[in-house]
Amino acid sequence: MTALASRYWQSLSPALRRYYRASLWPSLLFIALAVSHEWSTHQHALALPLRMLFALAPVVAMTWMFAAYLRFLRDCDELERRIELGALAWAAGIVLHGALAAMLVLDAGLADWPARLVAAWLGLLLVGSYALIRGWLHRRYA
Amino acid sequence: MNNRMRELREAQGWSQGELAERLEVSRQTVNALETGKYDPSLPLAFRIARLFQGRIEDVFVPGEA
Repeated sequence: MTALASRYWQSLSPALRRYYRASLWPSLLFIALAVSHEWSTHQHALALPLRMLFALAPVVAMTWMFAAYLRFLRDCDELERRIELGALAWAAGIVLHGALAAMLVLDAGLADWPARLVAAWLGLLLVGSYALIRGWLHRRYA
Repeated sequence: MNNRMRELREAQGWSQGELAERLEVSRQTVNALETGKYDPSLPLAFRIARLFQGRIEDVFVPGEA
């Protein structure tokens, strides 16, 4: 298992290895801040500014992770960049269609979904479609 | 576009990984170039030709139109 993981790690490009290493701390921070966010939602005695701080804190970790991703996009080679930008473009297009469809269904009164649920599903759709299309593009050029 | 990258690399005795390091690209990129799945940009094509001490047209051959 360790040998397999090591072989996988060695097969990655230097830029991707740097990105995975760089995104480790922001990922751990995101988990910690998401837990504190969840905790703060039950603390109604907290002052409003403090509740706002806890509510938005996970975004800071996400920004840190996104900065690492942008550095990876700058450092990777041209085929990797083509794959990444292709996956991002497809994912953005899919989410745009999903957002439009959700808005139209809600506007027509055909569904009564909570806004939190719709936002969460759109986020998942973005990440999921990016991952699937990135994998497909990697296979295409393998 | 066809190319002679595999032939030139093997003549040098390099693995795909070694060529990737010399070109500062990923091994996947070298493989995609050799199999003709990906055509390089002009700057990368120049780098490849220079590495094999030739001209771009010594490495890359236009395919049938």
